[in-house]
Amino acid sequence: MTMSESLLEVKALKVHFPVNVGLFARPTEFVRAVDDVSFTIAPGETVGLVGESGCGKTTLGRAVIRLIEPTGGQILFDGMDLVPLKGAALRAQRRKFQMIFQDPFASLNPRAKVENIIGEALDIHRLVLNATARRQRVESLLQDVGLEAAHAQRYPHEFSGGQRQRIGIARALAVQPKLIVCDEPVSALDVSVQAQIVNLLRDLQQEHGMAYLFVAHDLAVVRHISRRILVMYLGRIVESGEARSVCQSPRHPYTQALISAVPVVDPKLKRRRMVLAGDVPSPIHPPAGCPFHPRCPVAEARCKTEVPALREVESGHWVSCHLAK
Amino acid sequence: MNEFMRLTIRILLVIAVLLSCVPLGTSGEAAADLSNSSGTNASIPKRGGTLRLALPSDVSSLDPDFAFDTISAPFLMLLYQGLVEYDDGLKLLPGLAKDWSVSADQLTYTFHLRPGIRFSNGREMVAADFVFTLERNLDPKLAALTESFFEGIAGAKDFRAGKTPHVRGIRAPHGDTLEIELAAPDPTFLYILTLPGAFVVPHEAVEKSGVSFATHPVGTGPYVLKQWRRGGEMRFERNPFFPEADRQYLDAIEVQEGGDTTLHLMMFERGELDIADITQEPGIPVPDFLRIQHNPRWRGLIEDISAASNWYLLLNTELTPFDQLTVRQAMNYAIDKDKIVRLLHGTVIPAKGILPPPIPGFNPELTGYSYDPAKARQLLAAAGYPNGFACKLWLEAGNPLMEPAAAAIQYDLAQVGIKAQINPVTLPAFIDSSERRKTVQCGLTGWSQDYPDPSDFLDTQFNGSRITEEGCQNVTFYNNPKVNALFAEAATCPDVNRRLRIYQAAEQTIVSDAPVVPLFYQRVFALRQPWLHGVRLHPVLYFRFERMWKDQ
Amino acid sequence: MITRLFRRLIWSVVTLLGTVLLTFFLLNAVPGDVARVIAGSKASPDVIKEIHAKYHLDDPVWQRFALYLNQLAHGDLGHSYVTDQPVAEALLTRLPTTIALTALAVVMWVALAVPLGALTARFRDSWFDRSTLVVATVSLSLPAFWLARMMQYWFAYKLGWFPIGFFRSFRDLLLPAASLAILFVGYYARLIHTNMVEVLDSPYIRAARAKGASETRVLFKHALRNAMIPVITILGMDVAGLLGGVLFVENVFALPGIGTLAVQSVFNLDPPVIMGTVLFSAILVVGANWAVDLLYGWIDPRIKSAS
Repeated sequence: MTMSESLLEVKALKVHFPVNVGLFARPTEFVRAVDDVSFTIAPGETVGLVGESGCGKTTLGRAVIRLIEPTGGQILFDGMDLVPLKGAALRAQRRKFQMIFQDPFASLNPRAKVENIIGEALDIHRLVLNATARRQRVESLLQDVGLEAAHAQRYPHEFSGGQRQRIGIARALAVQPKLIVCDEPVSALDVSVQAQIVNLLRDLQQEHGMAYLFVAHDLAVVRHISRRILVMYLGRIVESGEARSVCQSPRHPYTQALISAVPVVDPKLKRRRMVLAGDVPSPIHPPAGCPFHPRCPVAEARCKTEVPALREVESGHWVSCHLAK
Repeated sequence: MNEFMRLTIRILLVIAVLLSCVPLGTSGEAAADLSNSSGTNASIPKRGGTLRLALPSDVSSLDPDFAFDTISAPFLMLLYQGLVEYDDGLKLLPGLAKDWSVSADQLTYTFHLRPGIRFSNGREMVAADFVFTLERNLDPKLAALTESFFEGIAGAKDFRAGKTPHVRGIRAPHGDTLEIELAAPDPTFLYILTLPGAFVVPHEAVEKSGVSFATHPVGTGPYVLKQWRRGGEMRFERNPFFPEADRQYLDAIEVQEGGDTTLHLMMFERGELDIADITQEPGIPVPDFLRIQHNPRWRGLIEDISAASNWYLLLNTELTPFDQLTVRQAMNYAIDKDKIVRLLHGTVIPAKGILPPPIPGFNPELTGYSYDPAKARQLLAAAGYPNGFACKLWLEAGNPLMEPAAAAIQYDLAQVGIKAQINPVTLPAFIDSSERRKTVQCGLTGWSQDYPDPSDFLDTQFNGSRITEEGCQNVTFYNNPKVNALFAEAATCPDVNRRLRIYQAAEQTIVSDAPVVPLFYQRVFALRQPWLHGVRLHPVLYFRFERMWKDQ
Repeated sequence: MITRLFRRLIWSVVTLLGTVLLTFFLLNAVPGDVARVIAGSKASPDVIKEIHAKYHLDDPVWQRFALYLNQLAHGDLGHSYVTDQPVAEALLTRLPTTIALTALAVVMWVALAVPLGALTARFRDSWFDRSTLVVATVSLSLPAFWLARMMQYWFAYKLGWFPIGFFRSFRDLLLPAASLAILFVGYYARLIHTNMVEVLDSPYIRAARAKGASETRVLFKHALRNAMIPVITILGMDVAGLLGGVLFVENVFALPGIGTLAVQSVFNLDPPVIMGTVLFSAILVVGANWAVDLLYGWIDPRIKSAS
């Protein structure tokens, strides 16, 4: 995949939050939520982003579409760097990328009718000519996500969690974006509903051709929908590659631990379960060298001092580990 | 930058708050540049103009039977007239009666009424109107406030008891002649006729209006009430039927009701009022008194008069420890009156006795008590209180003269070992309690005249034979048979001078018996604008608006 | 729904009756005699007795209360013992002043508090936010009478920009309304600020931004509408309280409002007027509760469908 073909190209993205020291002092410490991350997404591709809570994946997802201000790096969308954009110019670009949120209860304005929740983006970007056109578009979007046209006049609290997530998806679809960042879209739903929503997302992708950055902590779900997977730890990408490749032959010890934690259906299959020792270190003071070394079962002396670079160990499969082959 | 602008505004606000800690009244020249002339009262009266006044609260009523206080008095004088009236001092002049005579036995007064007097509704006044007026006042169902003053009329008691349809002693033999017969001789009777209860009212207007006569008054006075919005303003305009032009210079008189005296003073200084304060307490707010007095702009525009009212510390002679003469005398020696006068910025005069200066019989040679705390302690020890005692000092809450005085008194008493606990109550509660037997141990109170006669101060408050269980105006419950006998003698004494001497003797005895500690006499002030004239204060009525005029 | 309304009505009536009962008996327990106020300090005991007879002041308390309730049932609030003015008339003539003053003050402080609250929430922890907090706290703590007097002294008396007192034209209300507004604006600005901060942290706000909504749209169309809901309740109660009369402002600026009437009646121990003003205030509070509940149901769809 050449660079010029990619829809989204993230280069050396950094998101550091200052730790507040007080009323007057300059902050000297930073939370390194996203630390020097680079990756690409091709048009129509689904890239999964996994990691444990606090690894920075949500921050990365939001930073990519500039809901959070990056501290450094570049975000090239369709060739245009989003980082320097401000105000109306940035808002105009928002047509091209949207987000689906984790909490179906809190991500919809409780005081707005569904019609307005979905239709507001149409008004902002002037995508419809009049009220009738707007209503028709909203109704067709509702049908696209598996709801009914009549639902447009109702309020969010009248729907179940799964239905609300569908509304959120319809909302994101309204502007026909090229990329949708799905920020843990099914984590808050019942397992039975999860499958429905994931399938809906897949069907919509087939129909409309947008790319997804699918952020989740549940590897099983990510594996199901993603073509490529990025594994994140403490603000850095530690492994990336095709989904099959990453899941069947993980190279990074962390990825191996994650995979081993995924439940499989066959109870008779014995697998070695890797349990990581220790807690996640603080993102304010990441360990020297490889950030994973304090918990790594196979860490060596080198790992404590040298930061491993992202190496291509197989075609399209990159790992950041001194010991990976 | 929007944010910084807002921030700046906010900082300015904070500064403004700090600025406002400057106390009220350190400067205060208003915008209007008014001439600095002292504007003597002696200028040629001109017709025209509206007198603009303000009061803190509503006048309660303009019905002469229901208004009996110094604030409503000047307004009643605008609307009504009586048989006799005061001159610029205390002498009585013909009013609606052009002349009168008294029978030899001092019992029957015959008044000849002035012809051609009309009420403001156009009807001509006749003697029968006075019969109606006085009988209305005496009617027990009405509960008129001054009824007790007219009970001395022959047949009044029977009328009030319902035994007769009319009062025997009030007769109108002709349309222009009125006869009043008393049950016993009363040298103060003519003064009693200056009270509002004797202001003549037309029966048809009273009967038609009923209770709302209070807001729709009809009388023979120089002005009529044009409009009264309760809690808002009153407006008086000339009575077209009134004959004398020299009582009607002003086109109209407007009174705004509301606010307090500080507000009124501010309005006055900006030229929005013609007299700063007509509440007579004392007429310039005490906190502003010195500032106004020293301000060259206002200094020459202050009228003042010694008021016929006195303030004293009452000592209940029926309750310990004030049942002992020595203790009461000690109280008199313990208090420094000059200090109180200084505290009140000289708006009062220290008092030795009961009668205030304007009252006939006032005795400047009276033997009073000096300020001598050592002697006070001595007397207390002799009385059996070497370490003093505790007592409760009652007073009317919020009174601008009494509150500072109470603080000073408390301090002085503490110096001789007496712990006085101050007990402020509302005025009605104070009156109720102090007039009830064995309730109030000591308290700060005052008395102002109903009419200028020593009996009004001495007899009413110190006559032991008039003591009742409640509603007793002898609030010290003082009972000295010798003094009671003097009062009885003076009540019917026909010789004016001898009468005064009897009262003076009574006063001296009372002061020596010390049922009270006389504190001070009030002065009343009026601050006028330079364009307003004729504001001279009267010793009884204080303000006489119908005699004022404005420059054009 | 109907049963709920009916139950509500019953409780309102019970509240009002309870207020009337409590006030009547408390009034009876206060020392001091309205007859003395009417008669003045000089009147003789006979006059006092006659006034007692006239107004049945010597009858037993229960009897007088029953008489009063009967009177109320016929819609008659009685007459002032001191001025003979019908109580209803006294209230009605003063109501416009109080309403005008309250309305103006509310408009002033809401117009100021909404942008302050919204913008300090938007620019949280900035100098703007912090200094507004300081000023808001100061404005909350200012003594009301002192503030009114200071405004009057500096802006009316010294600078002459406004009339000093009394109510002759609309202009007379500006300074008193401003005094009132200053006392409330701080509290409301912080209240709106707190609610806005909470709302602005919500995911749906992030969603609105993701859609490309401008900050203004986000603030005012999304955040503010949600943040204002709890503020409406408090505003309703504050307005009810203000309509019952604000004595200090009315007194300092000599405005003929309900507050002056209420306090004057207490000093005069004038039972019909006291009862009238208390009943009036109670009705206002009960009414405000109703209004706020209805309004709440209308603006918050979650509650509407629940009822």
